[in-house]
Amino acid sequence: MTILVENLTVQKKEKPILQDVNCRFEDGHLSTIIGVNGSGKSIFLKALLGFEKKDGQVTFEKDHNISYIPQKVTADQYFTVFEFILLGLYGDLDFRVNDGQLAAIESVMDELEISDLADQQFADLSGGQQQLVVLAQALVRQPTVIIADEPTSALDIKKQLQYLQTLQRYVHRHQIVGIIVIHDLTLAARFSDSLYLMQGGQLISAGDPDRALQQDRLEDLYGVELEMKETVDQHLAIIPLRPIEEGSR
Amino acid sequence: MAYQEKNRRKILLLLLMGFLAFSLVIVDIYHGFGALSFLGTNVASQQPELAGVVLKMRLTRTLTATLVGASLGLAGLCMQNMLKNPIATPFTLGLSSAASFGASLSILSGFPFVFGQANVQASAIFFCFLGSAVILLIFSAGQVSMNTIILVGTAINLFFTSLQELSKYFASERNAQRMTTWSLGDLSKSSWDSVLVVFIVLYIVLVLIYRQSWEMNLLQLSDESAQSMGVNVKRTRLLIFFASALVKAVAISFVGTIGFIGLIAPHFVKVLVGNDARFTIIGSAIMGIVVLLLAAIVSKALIPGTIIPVGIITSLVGVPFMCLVAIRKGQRS
Repeated sequence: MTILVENLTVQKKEKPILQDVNCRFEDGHLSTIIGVNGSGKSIFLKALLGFEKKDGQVTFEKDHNISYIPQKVTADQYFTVFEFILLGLYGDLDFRVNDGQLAAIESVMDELEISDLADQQFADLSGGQQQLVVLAQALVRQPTVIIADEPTSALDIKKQLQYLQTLQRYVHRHQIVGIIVIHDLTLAARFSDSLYLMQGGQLISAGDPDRALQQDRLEDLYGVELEMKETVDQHLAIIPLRPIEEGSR
Repeated sequence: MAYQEKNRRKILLLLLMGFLAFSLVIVDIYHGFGALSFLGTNVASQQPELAGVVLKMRLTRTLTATLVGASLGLAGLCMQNMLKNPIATPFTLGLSSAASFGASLSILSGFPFVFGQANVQASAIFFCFLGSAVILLIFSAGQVSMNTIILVGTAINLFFTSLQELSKYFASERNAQRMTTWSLGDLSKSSWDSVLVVFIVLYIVLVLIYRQSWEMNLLQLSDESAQSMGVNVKRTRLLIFFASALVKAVAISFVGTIGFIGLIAPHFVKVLVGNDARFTIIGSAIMGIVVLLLAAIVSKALIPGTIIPVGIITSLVGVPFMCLVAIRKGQRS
């Protein structure tokens, strides 16, 4: 499964939000998209999903089954965690939920170590637990494509690492396409198989994370002075220092 | 507890609720001014042939209450779920006021003129739909917050209440009285026609909505999640909203506005069986029956010899209840 994006353009009120985006998402790759607020990342995801009126082409190589993890999850319901994950099986559900489906839910909960939450109300969970449950709902569909919009924003640092590790492992193991928007550059550097930089509705870099994560380029893009260094396990750590004042360059 | 085990327990709870509803039907039929009595005489013992007539009258009233209760409970659940708001019901969205005004307009002018005896009903249904259409239109415009819709509902409510008052102002004393009675919601207007019509509409809508159970569950997550899983969000929401407006409009067109059943019934059901629409759809209908019949029985028992319009009873209980729900929602979010 690959996704080919050609000349993708989205306009809102005659203003271009996405401009002529071309790229290709490979299977078995966790692709991350980074960029400042309002650079078009979320709209890009929605355009891939077919939620936005668009020009250009998004071509899925073969039959696909997308799981989408939105930025905001409404939490104001009485669903238990188990029932919430079950809804991920929509399309295969009859009045009676069969044993295979129940087993699938249990195995996903095991994998994400949330089995003990099964009977709790989704609305009563912490933000971080909710994110994991939403991931479980996405995975139980056995998707061929996962698209997630800032999935780790509500997690503490350990959960962030666990979340992205799990997601990346899943993408590798099942050879599916994973596309996430993320704000934390160090996490992006650590977990990206491919990395995409967005600015003003355009992709300014696509592909190799090392090429995209150049200090000058990132400082320009974000308007922030950065310190970049290699960690003990040979990943890149990107630490924001201070905003660059207008006109100082 | 395992999931299947829990579901079995929910089905058991629904059966118990059904049994409770059935018991209330029996109580309501036999609970009148004294035990099956008419004009102060206990007909059952003295004139057995009259007892049949009285029983038939009671039966229509009780059956109407049953079907209307189920309709209102179901409609309330649908609107709450579709608008993701626990205080969204046909009543709070102004659809009941719209129907009330429709009835008043018809009493005043004979609108829509072509249905003879059923003009008042037709007009009430028409205006109820008009109100629904406004809310649907705002839906279709996209990108509106659920709060906006509640506010618009409040505006619709005020608008039609004013029009209702205006029609009363122009009406003769007798007609103004009729309008007031209509807007209070009164089961004494029951007839076999009402039983039959409400039954048919309820049956169709119940089946239609029940088949959308999983979609209804998904629509309570984010619209985008539902859409990405293949739910046609707009179409499903319109369908469920339209169907519940229909069942509500038809039900109250026969008995007048009876408020708050659609608020109270789904709320209790969700506490009892959770939020899964496979259980709440049936549960809200049954709970609607229970609540309306309880109100009907109270309306007969409160002042001996008088039947208070049942809509007054439901409102007296419903308003504080609504405040509680709103406050709880406020605390949660």
